[in-house]
Amino acid sequence: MSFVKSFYKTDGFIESIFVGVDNYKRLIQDATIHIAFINTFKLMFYVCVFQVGFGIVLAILVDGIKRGSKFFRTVYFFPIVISATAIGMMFKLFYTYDGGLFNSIILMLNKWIPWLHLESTIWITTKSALRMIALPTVWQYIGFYFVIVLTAIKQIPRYLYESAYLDGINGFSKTIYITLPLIKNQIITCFILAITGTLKVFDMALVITEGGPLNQSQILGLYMYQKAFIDNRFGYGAAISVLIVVLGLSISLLVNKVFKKEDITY
Amino acid sequence: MKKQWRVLSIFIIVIMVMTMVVGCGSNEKQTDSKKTGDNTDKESTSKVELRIVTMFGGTDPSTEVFEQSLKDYMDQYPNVTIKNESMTAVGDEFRTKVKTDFATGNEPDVTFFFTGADAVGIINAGKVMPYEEIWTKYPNVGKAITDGVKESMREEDNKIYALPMTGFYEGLFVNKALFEQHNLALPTTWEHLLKAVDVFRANDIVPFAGPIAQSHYMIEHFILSQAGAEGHKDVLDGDLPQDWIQGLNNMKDLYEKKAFAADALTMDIELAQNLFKQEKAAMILEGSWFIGGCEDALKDKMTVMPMPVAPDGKMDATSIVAGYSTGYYISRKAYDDETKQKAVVDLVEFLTSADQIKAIATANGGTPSANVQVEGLPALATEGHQMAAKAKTLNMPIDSRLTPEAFNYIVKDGVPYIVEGQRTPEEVLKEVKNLNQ
Repeated sequence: MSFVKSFYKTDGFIESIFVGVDNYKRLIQDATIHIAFINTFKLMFYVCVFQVGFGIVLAILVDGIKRGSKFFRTVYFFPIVISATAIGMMFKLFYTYDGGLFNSIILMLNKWIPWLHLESTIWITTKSALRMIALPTVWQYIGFYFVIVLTAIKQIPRYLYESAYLDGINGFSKTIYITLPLIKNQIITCFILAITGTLKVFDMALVITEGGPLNQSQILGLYMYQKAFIDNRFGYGAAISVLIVVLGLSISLLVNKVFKKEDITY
Repeated sequence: MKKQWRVLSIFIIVIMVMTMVVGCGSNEKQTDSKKTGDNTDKESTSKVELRIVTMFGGTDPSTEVFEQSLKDYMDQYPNVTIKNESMTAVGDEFRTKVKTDFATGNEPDVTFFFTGADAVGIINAGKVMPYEEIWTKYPNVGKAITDGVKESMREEDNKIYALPMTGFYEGLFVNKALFEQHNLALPTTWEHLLKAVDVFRANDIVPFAGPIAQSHYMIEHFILSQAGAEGHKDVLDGDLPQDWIQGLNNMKDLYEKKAFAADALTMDIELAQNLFKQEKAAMILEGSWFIGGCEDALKDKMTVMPMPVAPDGKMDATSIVAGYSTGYYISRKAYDDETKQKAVVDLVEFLTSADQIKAIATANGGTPSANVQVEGLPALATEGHQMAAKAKTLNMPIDSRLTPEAFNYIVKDGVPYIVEGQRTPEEVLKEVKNLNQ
């Protein structure tokens, strides 16, 4: 349906004119799409490195403890059940220049330690805006990958570790040479989920920055929403959504090719 | 297996026959009640559920009054249940919700929505009723609304689709107390405005609470103050208007003079309003609805005035942006539904009665669309009404004349880039002109 709409200039109501590939031509020339495209890849990078990365590290650490693993599982998983809009609003209030949490802490510290000369900071700038969106996005879904990886680690038979211990292996080597290779397939799945998930992100950016300032935190999902639903350009919005789908499929195939899944039997 | 299918078929047929019998029975009952000539129409009418979407929800100052109106209506018409899906119109979500509802065939029975460019798609699609058609059968709908106001609601096809409750005006809201405290003259002229910017900035007070990325009101007023009422009405179908270019440059000048908050580039309207409400900012460009959200103590310190005329500006010093830009629409789907028609018309008749208009005008400080005396208004609201009465020209906002995409381009891809020196007003307006075609 979106694919068909992408060949029309339509406001989503009665006006619908066939324009051929005009929307795709505009897609190529649109400066904001270029920014959104690059930012989406940057966000993918942050998500893959920090979201999946922290998920793996935390899962390995929690696997190593004898007590309290259920507690950590609940704590890390908890942000996922909160809506992204609510988290976005919370972080927006953290970043607010006047009366925001971060600046209130800075002003409080300045009262206690005046010689540090701390001053209120503008947290969302043209340079930092994307990172300010990445922070809550990464934080929210760490628990998701943590649970997937932890479940995978728990599947590894204990006797493999026991025999390795007899050979004198330490904790770090155990992780590098036994745990990680044995959960490789699940890690690849995590990367694919993280990458395709990034293409869907729009609510966090909408609430925190609306893509600004100066479109510097614009991402594909948000731009598609703004064009279709705010500017009433459903045809162009549909063309952006086609781009998102093509991008998602291509990257997933690429990741699958680069990191070939292997059949691992214990 | 065959036997099982036979039993199942018989079972389905029995259920269908029973359903038909029950359905017919219900019809008979209704006919009976009509035959008795019972005069209690409201009680004998079958239950009707209506869906209404308005902007009197969330943080809107009229929310409480509106919710009470719906309760009163349901008390008066116990056969009608109203599902209220109202939400505040701040931001773009309200527009999006209404347009999406209409686009997907899920239109509310009654909608309180914008007129002009926002309603073009809905009107062209024939999704809402022209009141001329409704008045032939129900002449009392919107009777309280004055004829002049009704005339101002005519759309391009010369028909009225929306009945307004209150009009609005926009203006420069000023914290008089802060001006007095710093021995400053009120910003009635551009010189006074610039002086106030310098003094407030030196005293760590934000001169203008203006969100650059949501600069809808600022765009209106800076262009009006430079281009005047006629120039403000430009729809960009000729050469690029030089006054608009200058108006946008005036905004850039003030930005460079640090007239706005340090985080003006990223703040939204609510944060800007909070700066003013907390008396951390001395001026804000807002609409009449802003009064309803201010504390009484602050209202006593405030005044409202037209935007001062820009240097070499063509604006008459009394000109403002004002008018009636919202109203009640009745969906064609609901009107064509015989079970709903009467209820939906009654509801709009009730909501546009003189009492309801007065109640909403009292809550939001807007100009009532009916000839009613709004009592107990704060002095600030009265000043606002006087400002509107004295104005030689009243202009509708620019976004009622440009397409949403074209106007949003000025707001999101124009002003932030202009004030940061990354695009010129000429470049922005050229693109706006393309998008508006």
